[in-house]
Order: sequence, then C-alpha cells, then structure tokens
Amino acid sequence: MSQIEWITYIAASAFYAVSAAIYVFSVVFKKEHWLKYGATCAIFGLVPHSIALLARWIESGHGPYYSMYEVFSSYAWVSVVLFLLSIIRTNKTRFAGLVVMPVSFILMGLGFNVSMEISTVPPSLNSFWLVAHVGFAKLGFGSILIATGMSVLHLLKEREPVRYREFFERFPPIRIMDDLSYQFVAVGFIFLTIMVAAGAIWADQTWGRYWGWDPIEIWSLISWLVYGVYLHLRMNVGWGGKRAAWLMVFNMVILIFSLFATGIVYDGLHSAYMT
Amino acid sequence: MWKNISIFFKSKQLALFLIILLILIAFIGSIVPQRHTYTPVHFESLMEYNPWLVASDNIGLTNIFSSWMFFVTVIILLFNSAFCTYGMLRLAIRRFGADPVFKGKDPILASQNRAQISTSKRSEESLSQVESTLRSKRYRTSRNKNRIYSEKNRLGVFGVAFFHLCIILVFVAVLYGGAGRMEGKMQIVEGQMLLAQEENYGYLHKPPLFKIPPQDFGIYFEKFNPNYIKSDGTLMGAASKLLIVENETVTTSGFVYSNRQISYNGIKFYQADYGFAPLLLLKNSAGDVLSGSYMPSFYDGDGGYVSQFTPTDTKWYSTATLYPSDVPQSSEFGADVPHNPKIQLTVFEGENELYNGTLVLNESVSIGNVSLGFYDLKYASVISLVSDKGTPILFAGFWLSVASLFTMYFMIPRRIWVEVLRNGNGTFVYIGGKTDRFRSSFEDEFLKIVEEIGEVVKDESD
Repeated sequence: MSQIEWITYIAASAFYAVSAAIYVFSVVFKKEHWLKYGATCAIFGLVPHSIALLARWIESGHGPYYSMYEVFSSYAWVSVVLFLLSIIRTNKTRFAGLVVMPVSFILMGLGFNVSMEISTVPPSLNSFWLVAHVGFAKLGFGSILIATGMSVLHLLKEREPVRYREFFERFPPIRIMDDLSYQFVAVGFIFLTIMVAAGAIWADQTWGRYWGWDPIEIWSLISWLVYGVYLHLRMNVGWGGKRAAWLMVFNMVILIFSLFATGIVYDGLHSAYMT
Repeated sequence: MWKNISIFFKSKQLALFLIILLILIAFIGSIVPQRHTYTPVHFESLMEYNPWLVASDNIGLTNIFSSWMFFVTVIILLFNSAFCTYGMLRLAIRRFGADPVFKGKDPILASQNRAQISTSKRSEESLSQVESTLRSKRYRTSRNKNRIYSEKNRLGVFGVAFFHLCIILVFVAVLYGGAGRMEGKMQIVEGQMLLAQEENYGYLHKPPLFKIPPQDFGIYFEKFNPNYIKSDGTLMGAASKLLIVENETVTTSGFVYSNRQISYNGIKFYQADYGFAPLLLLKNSAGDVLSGSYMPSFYDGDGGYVSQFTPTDTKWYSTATLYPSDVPQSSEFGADVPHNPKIQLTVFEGENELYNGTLVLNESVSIGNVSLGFYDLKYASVISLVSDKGTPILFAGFWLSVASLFTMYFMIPRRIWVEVLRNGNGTFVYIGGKTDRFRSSFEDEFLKIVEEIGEVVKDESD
C-alpha cells in the first residue's frame, strides 16, 4: 500500500466520520441546517477517497474488487457517490445521510481491520463480465442503502416522539419517503439483476455452467428474491408505509450478509477475496 | 373447472407464497451441506460425525436443488407466472389500444393529483395554451371540445407483462437447457488425440431427455503453454492448444484457458484442470516393454501431482506422486515448468509393499524380474465438453429482463386530464393527473406543469 493511498484513506475515513456524526447530531439536537455540513463533509471525504482508490488501482493494476479491503472501500465509495448524486437530483434524500454516512464510515473502518496488502488477481478473474458483476453489485448496494435510509427515516417519523415533532416535521412527508424508498429499491433491483446476469455469464465462460448452487450464488438469488418480494408486495398487494419500511430493514440485513459475509462463512467461489 | 384452475394459478398470493417457499428452499440449501459440492468420499466422511446431516440426507435436504419439492415449486411458479402474465398482457393490450380521449365519469375527480386555476381568458385560448404546455412536457394530447386528455409513456403499460414474460423465458431456458445438457470431461495428454466417444470420457453427464447427436470429431491436444500471454500482454496462465478434427480436417482450433473456450458444433471446450503425465513403463529383463503409458496426474494440493495405476498383467497397485520441479516457479498463476522432475512411487501387491522410493527421469527400479521406470514427462489437461442449448436463451432472457425492468420503472405511463369550464365567476381550468408508479416524482412534475399552466393562462392585466 502506497503512502498516498494510506494518507488519503485515513483522511476520507475521518471526513466520513465527521459527516456521519453531523447527521446523527442534527437529529439528536434537532438542527436541520447542519445537514448541509454533513453533505459537505461527505464531498470532502469523497475527494481523498477517490484518490486512494485510484492510487490502489494504479499500483495493483486491477479494479478495487479483489481483497476485502478493496471491497469495503469501493462499496463505501459507491454508496457515498450515489447518495450525493441523489441529493443533487432531489433534495428530499438528504436525510438518508443519517444511514448512508454511518454505514459508509463503518465500511471504511472495517477496511482498517483486514489485510491491506495488494493481491494479484488470478487469470480467471480477468474478465469484462466480472467487472460488470462486481460493479453492479456495488451500485445495487448503494441504491438500496439509500432506500433503506429513507425507510429508517420513515420509521423514525412514524414514531415521532413529541419532543422531536418540530424536527421531524422538516423531514419529507411519510408518503414521499415511502415512495423514494420504493424508487431506489427499483433502481437497485435493476442493478442486482444485472449483477446476477453478469455473474452467470462469467461463470459460464469460466466453468462451463452459469449456475452451480454455490453458497454465494444461493445468497445472491435470495437477495434478488427478497427485493422481488418487496416490489411484488408494493405493486400487486398494495403494501407501503410502515410494513414496507420494516421489510426494507430486514432485506438490508440479508443483502449485507450476502455481499460481505458469505465469503467468510462459507467455503466457496468468493472466499478467495474475503481475506 | 377451468375457471377455478385459472383463479388458482392467477393468484398473486400464490406467487408470493411460492417465491417465499423458493427463498426458504434456497436458505436450507445454503445451510445444509449439499452433496454436489463435495466428492462422495468427503461427503460420507462428513456424515460420519454429524447425525443431523444423516437425518437431512434421509429426508432429501442434501440434494435439495434436485428434489421434487424444488421442482414442484418451480413448475407451479412457472404456471403461476404464465397465468398472471396472460392476464397482465390482456390488460396492457386493452390499455394500449384504448382511444386516447377524455372519457369516463369524472377522471379529474378520481385523479391522484388535482389542481384548479382561474383565468379571465377565453376558454378556447386557455385550452390552446394548456395543450401547448403539455406538449412541451412531451405529453401527447387530444382535445375534445373543452377537455384535453394527455399522456406519455403509453408503451410503458407493457412493462410488467414484459418483465414476467422474460422471467418465463428464463424458466423455459433453464428447463430446456437442463433437459438437453451434456457435460463430459476427458483427460488428455499433450500430443494425444481422443475421439469424442463415450469410452474416452472420464465423466459424462448425458442429457436426461434428449439424445446426444453422434459426435464424429476428435480432440487433438497439440501443445500446452504453462504461461500463456495474450496478444495484449495479459498473462492468462496455463493454456492448452486444442485442434478439433473431423474427417481428417481441422475444423476449429485455439488455446483454451481461464475465461476462454473454443466451440464446435454446439459444444464448448473448456480447460477444467491441468497437470502432468509421466511415462511409466514396465520392462522385462531383456528390456522389452510389457506395459505402461503416460499417466495423467493432477495436483494433490501439497506440491505433488498424483496418479494411481495398475500395470497390466500384474496384480500390482501403484501410486505415483510427481514433483515436476526442484526450482521455485516464477509465475504465480502459470503451470509448473518441469526441471529435474522426480516421482515418489509406491508399489503394492495385495498387502505387500514391493517398492517405496523416488525415481528421477530415465531411472528405473527392479522389482522381481521386471523393472519399472520413469521415461518421459508431458503435460496433461482435463478438457470439459459442454453442450447446453438453453444458455443463449437464458442470457437473452436475462438481458430482456433488464430491459423490461427499465420499461417498468423508467417508462411509467402518466396521464393528465384538463377541463376548462366557464361560469359566472370566470373561466376555470381543472387539472387532474395520475401515474402508474412513483407518485412523488409525478407529483413534482404535476406541480411544475400546473405552475406553467398558471403562468400561461394568467390574466394579461396581472
């Protein structure tokens, strides 16, 4: 790991920590105007974070997807980028930083606790479809993290303790948060579908089979299906509101397990990078 | 009867139940060790110490993805999807074919979003201005007297049905591909030619429903490259050059390595594994070869390449572990390059150990009145031959699903109704809007449109 990567990674983590703290304190101390400082800190963190990833890419000669450190770092980067882009598109998602920024900071922190050594990518991973597979996994996670953020805010607002009423009134109306969560899940679901498709093509090219019921494949199918159930419930059964928000939180646990834990828990295709 | 079947299979609750059941089956498959992920010997050893695994095995949970429970769930889900899709398609076609006109009892009152603007302008002028505003927002409009109907993304009504059709396509591709899938593995030594006939396969999975068409080609393993480098300079590791020969003509050829296969006649050729093939010969005291051949040997995970063999006309049983090189290898992902190779050889006759020692190249050992020697070393590969006609359909289904999801979520039908009414207090523009999905983003657009209409129809005196 180069010195520039190390320094910029620390700087990015520090900015994300401050950003996460601002988001949390803005809720605790009912200071809505602090939110913009949270977003500013996220931007300040994104710059060194991008440099750290770029430095890593140049030094290792491959994208940030092979070691666990690269996985944590790149997931955090994509989540922050998508969050900031979502704010540009609709200011209503700025409250989702309450979830996105702490999660991104935790991912960065986890990066410190695993090996940061550069590993050589084996030839079997040298494929366009693998890049598409991991890229869309990150995009899917980022989109769904924002959706989960909106769902968590939704649940907080539903509870609305009297002393926080004034603050929660500044949140977007519940139906808008509910709808935004739905929109981000829909986008995330498209990304997850592309992830599964690209992974199947890569597996077919490498092993002559597109699906092998490997634990990671099973869990990616489970993740895809649980979000399919969510969308089905919303579109066809009329789910929404609190129930849908709780389902989002539950589904996020499954997605996190699927993306980050299966390679550790199971001995399978993705174990190689979970070091 | 048909009606009841139709109602049962069209049920959205059934779809939900089946998807959740599929999730549960998948979950069980992820926590109960599955037979297909272990060798039979390894799996049996797992069962020795795990009574829960034995119990799971007895009720079929260790082969859950080949179980009747899984197949029945998938088949019912396929029927359910087909019935639902039929209903969705009918509805979508009806909506798509409907006249784009302002009709119905009071669509504005029934809309999700409504607005009212007053103006002193004449009705005709207001209607023209409203229409041009809607058109500028890419809405297609139709006017009937004092009413305007406008819509955009009409094609989006097919989104949900299109997605479900794609899911059916994926199901069908998996079933069709699975029913006709052929997969075989051949161990082949550098310089060897093997015909694609059943006896030459080390492992062969025949298609359960279809016959394999006669295969008259042969596979010639021309050479092995332990460190193959692509033309762009990328190191791809171990690669085998194959020639597919039919009627003494080379029909196709090329290197196979990680992520690259060659294909011929609907069959893809992969390099599944690679190793070495030492030539072990049994000779008599006069030096005549009694038996022997190149013995394909594959990595044992501990630096050696193992093969087991029984020389013909003997009751011997032998294990040879080849150590191809005594120098460190330069490439992390390439194959070992032979350098002073040696073989750790054990020979048994029944319970008696006849020999246990090491041979270097061109060395032999006398056992009784014969000698066993190590005379040559070549590379060996395991070539996997796969034919699955469902794969291209499956991938087409995947990408069409992605396209259909885009249609579902980015081409959402939106409709706006406008009615201009004049009464004693002036002219009023009533606006109503509806979207199929994502009300909040439509709400933003609706508010902008109302604002713009308000601007254009406002009194000039203001």
